[in-house]
Amino acid sequence: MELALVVIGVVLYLCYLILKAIFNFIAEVTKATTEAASTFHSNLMESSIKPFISGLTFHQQSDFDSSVDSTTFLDYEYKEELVVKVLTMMAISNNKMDVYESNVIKDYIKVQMKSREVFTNYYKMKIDQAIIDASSLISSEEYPVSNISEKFQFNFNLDERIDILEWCMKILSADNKVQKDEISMLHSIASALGVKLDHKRFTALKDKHFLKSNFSDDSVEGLELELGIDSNLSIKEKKKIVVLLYKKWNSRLNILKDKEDRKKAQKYLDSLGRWRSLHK
Amino acid sequence: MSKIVIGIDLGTTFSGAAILDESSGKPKMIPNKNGKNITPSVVMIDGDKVIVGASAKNNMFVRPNNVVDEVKRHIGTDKKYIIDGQEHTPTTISSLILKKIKEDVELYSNAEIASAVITVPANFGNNQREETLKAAKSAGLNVEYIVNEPTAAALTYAKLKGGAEDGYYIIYDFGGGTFDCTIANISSDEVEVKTSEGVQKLGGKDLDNELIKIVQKKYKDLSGKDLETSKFDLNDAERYKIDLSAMDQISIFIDDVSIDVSRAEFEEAITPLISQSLMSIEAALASLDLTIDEINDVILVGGTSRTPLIQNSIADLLGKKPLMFGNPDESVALGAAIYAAKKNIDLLNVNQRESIDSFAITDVCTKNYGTLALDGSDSKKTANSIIIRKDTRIPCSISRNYSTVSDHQSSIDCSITECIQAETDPEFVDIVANEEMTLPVNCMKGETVVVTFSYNANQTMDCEFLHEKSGTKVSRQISMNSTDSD
Repeated sequence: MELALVVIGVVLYLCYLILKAIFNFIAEVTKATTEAASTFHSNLMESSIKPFISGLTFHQQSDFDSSVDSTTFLDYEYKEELVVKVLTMMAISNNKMDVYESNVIKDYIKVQMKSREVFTNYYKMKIDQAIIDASSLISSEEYPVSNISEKFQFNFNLDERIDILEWCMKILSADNKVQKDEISMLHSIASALGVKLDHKRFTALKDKHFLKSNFSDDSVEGLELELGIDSNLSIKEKKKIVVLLYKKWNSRLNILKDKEDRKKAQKYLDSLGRWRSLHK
Repeated sequence: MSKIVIGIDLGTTFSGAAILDESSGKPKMIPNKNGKNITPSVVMIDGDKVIVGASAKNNMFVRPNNVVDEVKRHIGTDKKYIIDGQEHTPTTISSLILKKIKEDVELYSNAEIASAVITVPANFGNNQREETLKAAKSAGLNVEYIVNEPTAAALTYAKLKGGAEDGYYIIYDFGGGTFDCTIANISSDEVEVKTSEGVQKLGGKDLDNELIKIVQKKYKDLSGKDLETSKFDLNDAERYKIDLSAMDQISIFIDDVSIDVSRAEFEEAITPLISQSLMSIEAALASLDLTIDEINDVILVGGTSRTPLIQNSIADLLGKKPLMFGNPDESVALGAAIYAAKKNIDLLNVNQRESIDSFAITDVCTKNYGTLALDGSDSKKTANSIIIRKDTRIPCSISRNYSTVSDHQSSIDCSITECIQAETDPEFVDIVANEEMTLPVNCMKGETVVVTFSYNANQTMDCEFLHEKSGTKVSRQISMNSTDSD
């Protein structure tokens, strides 16, 4: 009899633990839908960051506040924090982060989570905090891009750094529009990561992502920026690059399968013709 | 009935045929039924009735749904023309143009066409060449060879321009719909093509469109109304463009509105287009590591090259006036006749044979050919690996070794790729053929696969993928110019 009571007691206790765990889980999920906006000092992130936080983490809004400055900005426990900071910088380089851009950051984190055997709430919190820190710092108009150089070159090999730049490009072309500030930011990040603007793989990735996007600046300067022509070069050097670019896009024009891609390639050719006519 | 060999220039806007003269052995144009040396490449289909040439062109804007022009710009694409409920392709339309040429030649010469050579832009891909050949076959022509347009023009120059200085020449071929630029080493008895660059969608039509844009804008500014397309169409633009080549200013009257267009305005609008052609020259020079000072002359080909801005721009680049040799609308067809004769010596009479016997032609590969393989870096991404480089003199045979990537690998993908610019990204290359080779059981990582591409003199390419250890292989023949391969 006594044994039966003990067994019943143990079973009840186990049921209690299971129910408690389920209850806690539901509570956490419920918390996840709460708005986190009030904790952000940035006035540009408010609407767009909400789905990001609620969609991925289980933390309360009070967990997030940024007291980071440019000296502590690059402190990290997980390498991914560094990447997320850079991606956030890329996303808000044009002063706002839209849902497409935040989705790319989400995708990046999802990929990292898949490759990690164990990931904890703490890990997720750190990733979130990285976003808050980056957005906070940028909203206060501190752009610590040049400072990231050492940390990245120490932690990531060249292929990985170019992979990071590809994530930046995905952000840049997420809304199918490319803006001057975004390209400038991409180039700044590439330089900080020690990737030359004419690096073969970097250029190839850029071609692919830019092909899918519309560039908003039709000026000669804008064209040079979009095509990655260093504005500091002499006209003679630029002319050589323009001819090479012309060869490249002229060759691709007939190979591209997508009609829109072909239109974009034709636009490049027309723009290069325009550039060349201004620099006889 | 006697047999003849002809060359055909199947142009975007005009087409024409030529033959070697039976007495002099020199190339000459064959006039069409209307006595003109060139025929507009425009087709009108009205039920069972097919009209090709000037009459079709005259109906272009009267019956736009029944008339097709600029078909060459679309050959090799999946474009379809629906006329009176019937579907037509660029290939079937091209065959109607070729059929008309064939009929006109046979009528004029009272002879049977034994063999013909057709010209194509140098930057035409394998698919476009194949479709051109299909069109020829469908028109009842026996076409064994295709020749690049600038090569044909170079042949004309070498043959007809007596005492030309030996050396490098640029053949600047600005036609109605395409632009090509070739650098060749020309002497009185040899044309050695070195390289070609081209822009497929750049031609006189694009210049006409710029003039239309100017007129449309001015009409709206003056009348406050949009200009209907039919009131100033491409035919009008072409006519006024020619006027602007001779006059500093023209006046166009539309609905009591007088529109003045100056040559300066027109030139400002077309400068970016002309600049594209100049960049092609610079690209061609750069690929040979030549400077403009090493070029003897620029030979102008194609009707659009009559445009003063083109001639002045080249003069600025070259430091002297380019050569307008003969009729630029006819140089390509005349060169095609020389090429056709060269390839069909047995069908020539003594005079014709003597004329071309000692004449040599060497050509180059106009594209890069390669295969897809893993790039060898840590990322293990598929990349395009080039085997025969553009501008390699043909015939040639080149092998490259690759290796299997894993133990017990069961097969390899044997792809044949084509691209003008040396590309590594598979997205930017054309896969012209693809086959799988099954490897023997127990194939291990690192076993050698030799890939050999042989570009033959008859413009076919034999491609072989050989697994060295077992002798297993996949062979494939790709046709660049010839009908007699798969």
